[in-house]
Amino acid sequence: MKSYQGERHALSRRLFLGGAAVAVGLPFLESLTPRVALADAPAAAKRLIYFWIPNGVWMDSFRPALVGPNYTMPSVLSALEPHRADFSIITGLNNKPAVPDVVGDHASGTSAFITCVHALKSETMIHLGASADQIAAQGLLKNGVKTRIPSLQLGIDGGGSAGGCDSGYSCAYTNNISWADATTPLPKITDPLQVFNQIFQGYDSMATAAELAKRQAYDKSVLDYVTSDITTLNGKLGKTDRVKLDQYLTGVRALEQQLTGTEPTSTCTKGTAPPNKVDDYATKVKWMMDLMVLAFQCDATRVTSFMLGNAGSQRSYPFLKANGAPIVRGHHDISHHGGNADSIVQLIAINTWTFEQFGYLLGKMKAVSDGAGDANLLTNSTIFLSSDISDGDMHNHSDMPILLAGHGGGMLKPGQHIRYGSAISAPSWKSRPAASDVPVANLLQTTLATVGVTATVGDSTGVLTEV
Amino acid sequence: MIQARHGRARVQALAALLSSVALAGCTSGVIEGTGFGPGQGAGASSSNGGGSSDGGASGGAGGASVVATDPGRVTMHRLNLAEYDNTMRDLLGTKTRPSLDFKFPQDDRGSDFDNTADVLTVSPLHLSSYNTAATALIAAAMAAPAQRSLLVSCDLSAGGATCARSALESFVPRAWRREVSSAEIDKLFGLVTLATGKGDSAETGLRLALRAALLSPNFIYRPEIDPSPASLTPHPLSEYELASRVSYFLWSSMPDAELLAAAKAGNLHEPGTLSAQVKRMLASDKAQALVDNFAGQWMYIRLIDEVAPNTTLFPQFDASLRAAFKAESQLLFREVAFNGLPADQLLTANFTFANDRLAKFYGLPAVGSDTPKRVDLSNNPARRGFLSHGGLLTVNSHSDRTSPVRRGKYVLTQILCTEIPPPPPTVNTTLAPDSTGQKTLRQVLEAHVKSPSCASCHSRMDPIGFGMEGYDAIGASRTMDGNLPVDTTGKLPTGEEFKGLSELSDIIARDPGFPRCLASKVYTYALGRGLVLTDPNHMDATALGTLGTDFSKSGLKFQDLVAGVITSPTFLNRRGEGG
Repeated sequence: MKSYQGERHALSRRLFLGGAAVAVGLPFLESLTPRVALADAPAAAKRLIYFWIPNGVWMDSFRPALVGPNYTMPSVLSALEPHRADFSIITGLNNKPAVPDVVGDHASGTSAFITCVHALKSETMIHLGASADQIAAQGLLKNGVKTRIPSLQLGIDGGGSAGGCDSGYSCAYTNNISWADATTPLPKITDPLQVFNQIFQGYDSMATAAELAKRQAYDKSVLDYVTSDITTLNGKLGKTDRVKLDQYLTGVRALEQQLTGTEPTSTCTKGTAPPNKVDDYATKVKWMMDLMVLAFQCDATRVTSFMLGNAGSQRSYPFLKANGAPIVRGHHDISHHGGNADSIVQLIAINTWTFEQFGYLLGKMKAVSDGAGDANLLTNSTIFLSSDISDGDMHNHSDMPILLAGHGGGMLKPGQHIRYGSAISAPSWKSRPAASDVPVANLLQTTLATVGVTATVGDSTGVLTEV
Repeated sequence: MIQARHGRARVQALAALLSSVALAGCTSGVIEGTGFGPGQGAGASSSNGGGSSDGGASGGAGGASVVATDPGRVTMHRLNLAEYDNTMRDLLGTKTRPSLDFKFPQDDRGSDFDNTADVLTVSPLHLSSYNTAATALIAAAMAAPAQRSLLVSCDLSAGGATCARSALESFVPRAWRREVSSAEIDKLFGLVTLATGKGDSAETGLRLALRAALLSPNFIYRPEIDPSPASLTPHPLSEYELASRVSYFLWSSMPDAELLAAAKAGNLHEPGTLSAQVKRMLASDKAQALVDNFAGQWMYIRLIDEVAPNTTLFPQFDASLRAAFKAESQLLFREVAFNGLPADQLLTANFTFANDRLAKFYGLPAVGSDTPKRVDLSNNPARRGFLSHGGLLTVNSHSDRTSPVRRGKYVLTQILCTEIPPPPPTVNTTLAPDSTGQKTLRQVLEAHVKSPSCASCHSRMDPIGFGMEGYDAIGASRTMDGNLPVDTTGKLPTGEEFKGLSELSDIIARDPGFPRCLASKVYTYALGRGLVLTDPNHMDATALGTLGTDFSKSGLKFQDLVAGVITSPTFLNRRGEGG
């Protein structure tokens, strides 16, 4: 992370380049907003995405041998070559709180993903801690940044409807990465149309100002009523039930903000809504990426988390081939490769596809001009990508596979492989290079700093200045 | 750990049966007929196992020096998806499933059920969904004459505010499942006044008030109010709270008029009244909720909708087979549970329910109908009991092959309540594949029992799964695995031998662990909370002991089990939380 000196430098560089980059074709959603004089430009909005992928990564095809900017692009990241200057590969960080009580690495690793807190092992009690995205959302609010939606949680799978999730851990731990506090997991929206509706809820372009005002007044009165019911009931309950009502109250306040908040900004056009139901996996993933970008473009939110499946995902990838055959086994089964060559080839194919999708997101964000000069959504964002575990078979929470994308509004130094722990000689999944004791949480604390939020996350001890 | 001096043998026995064996891998004694003795399960909940076996009671309740008195407490329940849908059906006459239409977030599960109060949380997304749903459902109900009459019985355009107020007076007690004070009605009525004050109609105002009532925590949650929230002294539930517990257990929905009337009369706690209500409610169509939600989760029937076999390898698997699988397991559960058959018939019934599609798939004579018919299996023992149902076999398979491990694990965890931990880290879980085509899956898996770190659990799961190898990954009967004959013989750790699933199901059905496990599953589902077996003063262990015994004595009748759960002291009572 650069100092603020560095940020000024980045700004002046954009000043120097002026509008040169504007000649590029405008993306479909961007409307022509009047360009304000740079001197008057408001501080660009800074944004965050936390991107979770299941079942770890085949590290030998992810971790470059060289550190610094001149690494050879690892095979599973090949689709990211065009964005080389826009992200860093970070290896060797350790997420110790993710280590489960005996077993249950997927649940404990997923719940600790961006909380860096050790989950209470229970089927029926949940106790964790606030996740980085929620600390950011709450911090932004304190800093006076008020968007219609404080944060968005997106995903692909709602979660199965029967059966246990992981070894004595409640499904709340395997299905959620965003936690408002120790006992409030935030479920994700897994339907593209619903994301779209959330972004534009309460926004009715056909209503007159008077109609809108009346509707908002009614909504507010209904929610005021609900709030007073909560207060009355609260006085009659024990402490655990009061925690439940607190969650409810938080939800009511968020809904009020959404229903009575400001309209989407003028730089944003609704565009085409997603179809009512998207069944095809790859299509759904693409929609979710598009909608993340749309939400930022409309400034509906500044903070998004995304889960590409749920912990221990058993999704098969029949549309991908490995050694000429479609991948029909479940991803989790495959990830327990045990060194088996067939499994590893399949794992590499799944990883490669996954990072292609990530590349699509980066490309899409880069194409949306955002603020002055050559600034775009990607330069103004910080995107953290990782998994619940490192190697799918070893279930280790050290040497986590991490990509840190975006420029953090000029505060990051993308374009490198940053290695914590011992150097890499001959990589091998079994005798892997030693990871460090540097917590993943320090990187998460750094992501918060890029949006101007000063706070610790889980076991963090400070920011990482290298990234 | 404090060594409480009490008749602990029984508590430990149950704890060993029910607790998660998480610390020491698998221990011996699963499926062994009688013994669940002290110290057997080295699980967290019975970590005093192996200590001095004081008390001396051998499974009996007699001789206990400490009598458990704590009925526990249930955290305030949020309506889960099924409950929200069913409640709207009964409250507004809604015909659709709002949770699907309005895309509510999936409920998280704990203890394998999605009605576990502690993990039923609320997020901003929930509120947004509730608001959208309530607004739309009220509008739809007010516009449909049949539904409107459930909400408004006067002429709103003529009667105006008076009519709106009377609508609220009859609607809100139903929505909140209790009596509502006139002060509470006044508060809601304020929204009617607000609308008419702005020049809108009483109808507009009433809709606002109805929406507010449906967004109130009094609707979304089922509050149970302790007279003194900080007191640990047990007390009976209020009549209305009991009505809701019974109703959400049996119907996953609100109490109906008759149940509310019994609560209002104040005699629902009386055993005669309660048992008559339970009998009546079990006979209602609404008790289908037990099939959808209890059996749907316990028997994994819900997963039939989600499973995705590889249709290149299994082209027979299509939507109609999926539907037939689901119907078969649901109907068997219905038949056994509601028609007074012994519950072990779930495992051993000499009949099933098949339509033509399923009969053909099973190799049974055609039934001459697309609708499932009861089919006699006297000559087809291979399809006796639900462990042989295509649905269960498919959801416990991989997409491309069977999984004896998953099938065995299902039986152990769901039918016998024995937790099996996943492989410890650093164990190579990939068995050497068979590149020669000279081995069956069973022969490949048998490597498990050669490795000590695998054997402790797999020697339990795998033999059960091997007994189910006569069915492929979508439950079709088979005699060959590839080019080699399937071997469905097995020997359990107890020494009992079997050939094929039918014999295996008989052994499982005879295991006393089965009725105890079913009792504990129903009990857990009914209360919507995790079991508390570690605290000797908590009544869960004794309540479960009594239930299991009574269930066996009743000839394993599900209705008696349900009635027993409802009359358990832990179902009828609660306490505050303390400090």
